[in-house]
Amino acid sequence: MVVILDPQAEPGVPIDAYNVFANVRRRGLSIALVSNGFPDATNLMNAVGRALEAKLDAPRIQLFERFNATILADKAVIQEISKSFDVAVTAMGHCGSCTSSAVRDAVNIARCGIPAVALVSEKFLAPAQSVARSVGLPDIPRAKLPHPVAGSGLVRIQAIADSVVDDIIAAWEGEKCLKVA
Amino acid sequence: MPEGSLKSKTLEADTEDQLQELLRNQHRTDGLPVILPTQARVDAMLEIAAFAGFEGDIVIGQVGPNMGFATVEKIAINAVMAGCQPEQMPVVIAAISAICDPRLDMTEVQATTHLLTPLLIINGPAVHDCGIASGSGALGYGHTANLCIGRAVRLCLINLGGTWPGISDMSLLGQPGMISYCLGESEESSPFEPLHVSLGYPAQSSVVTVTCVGAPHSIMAVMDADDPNSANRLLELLAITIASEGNNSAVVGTGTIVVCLTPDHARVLSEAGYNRRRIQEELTRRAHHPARYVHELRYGPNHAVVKALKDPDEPHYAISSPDSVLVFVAGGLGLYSYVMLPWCRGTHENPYVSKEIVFSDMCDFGGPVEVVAAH
Repeated sequence: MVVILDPQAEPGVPIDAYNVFANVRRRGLSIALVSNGFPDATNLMNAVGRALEAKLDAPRIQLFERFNATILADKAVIQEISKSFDVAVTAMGHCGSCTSSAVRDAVNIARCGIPAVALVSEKFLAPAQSVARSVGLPDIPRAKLPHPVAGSGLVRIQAIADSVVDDIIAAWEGEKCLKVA
Repeated sequence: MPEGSLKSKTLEADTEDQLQELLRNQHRTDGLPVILPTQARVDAMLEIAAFAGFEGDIVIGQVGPNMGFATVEKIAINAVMAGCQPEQMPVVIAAISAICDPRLDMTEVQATTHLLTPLLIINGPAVHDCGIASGSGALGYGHTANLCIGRAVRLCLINLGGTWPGISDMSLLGQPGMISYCLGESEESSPFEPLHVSLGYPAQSSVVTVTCVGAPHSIMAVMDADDPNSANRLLELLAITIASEGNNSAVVGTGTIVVCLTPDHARVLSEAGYNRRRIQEELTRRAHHPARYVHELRYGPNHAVVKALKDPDEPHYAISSPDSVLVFVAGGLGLYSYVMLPWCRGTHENPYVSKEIVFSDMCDFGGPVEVVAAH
């Protein structure tokens, strides 16, 4: 028998359960859309906003945009969302670091008690899961996007937004299973 | 280290080959065979660490993105696997201390589709004492200490940080430096003061400077004693390469620019009156292109950044400040120098971090590497 020592360390952040949900069918739902500034992320968010307006009863929608997809949303933005909004969407997970920031933004919002969904390309679901575990909220909702979204043109982006909006609403309401848009 | 005092769980198999396969299949190696970390081998590594004041249960930091705890014991296990000798353990501890420094943004660095990876530049007596190469082919094959120390860092990034290609490390292509990227400064062939002295450390100290960059770009410049413009040509070539429009540094203009001068180029610059500071300043001044080239080529005409350009011909600078240029001397004699360029992203925008290498807790200068917490 050969015995060696395990080189691996467990992740340093313990796991918490995700259990923030909302009644999104009421009139005047306030929705925060957080774009990390990856190419076409803001175009996608604007399209998602239009799709949500068509689905929900007179929602109040506000875009929070930054221009560096590799950093997290500012603490002041998270604080404003936690005080003034009912639900949130973060985007876009379309590369390594931007997937990390989109998921971690959603986690930071959810930890304030606001249901949040990260929009992630189907090609980046594996890193999204890894990031979600690394920050201790492995069940943070994600809605799958087709790949690519960036660079696919405004008409196609609107179609993608229209196809994913039901998944976003379902996640806010507590449904886990999301289909590929 | 008393027998049985280690905290890590054990892995068992009938044969060494089975353990090699298990480590490889469970993503606990870099894909290459490893030295199996038996208790005896790890104990030998920990003995040297303890001499420097690092007991096995001390936590040096946490490695992103998984934020696994980098205990001295876990570092020792990974150093054994990488092939390190016990006397190299202090270098690995200092390097991991840098990796755990939040300024390096390893959570973001390990996730990005870019190909940056930590580069280790070693200065001081550790270069000779640990057999670290700084001359011909220092970043290539054949230099055991360089390869093993750099590999130990990569194994810690995998086993403590949780990185794996295509799962959590999304680098589109990767690069060979991701296996090992470590060299010494060739202080004896440099006309300049050692890098760590310029960074504020005593000359007799040993220091590892870590920054995350891409692969080396070579710059060929033929020096000519009859050409009074030789130094100027070299600086211009370095600046043009740094500001080349495809590089992130050309567009974002932040991060650490690493300039590795061959001793021949360093000598010409020195003889022309350039010290490290003047080289940093000259490159900062010269590395730029018109804004419209930088942004239009990358983003296309429809991007908000391009539409917002007020003066498309205004110079767009690739280097944020002279302090962000790390100039050092290494490599063989010849016509090639090198630049290694940053990703420029993450909260701290790719800075460099230096940590003193502590071989003994009896030394007179400096303190040990920063200890974050203890069990």
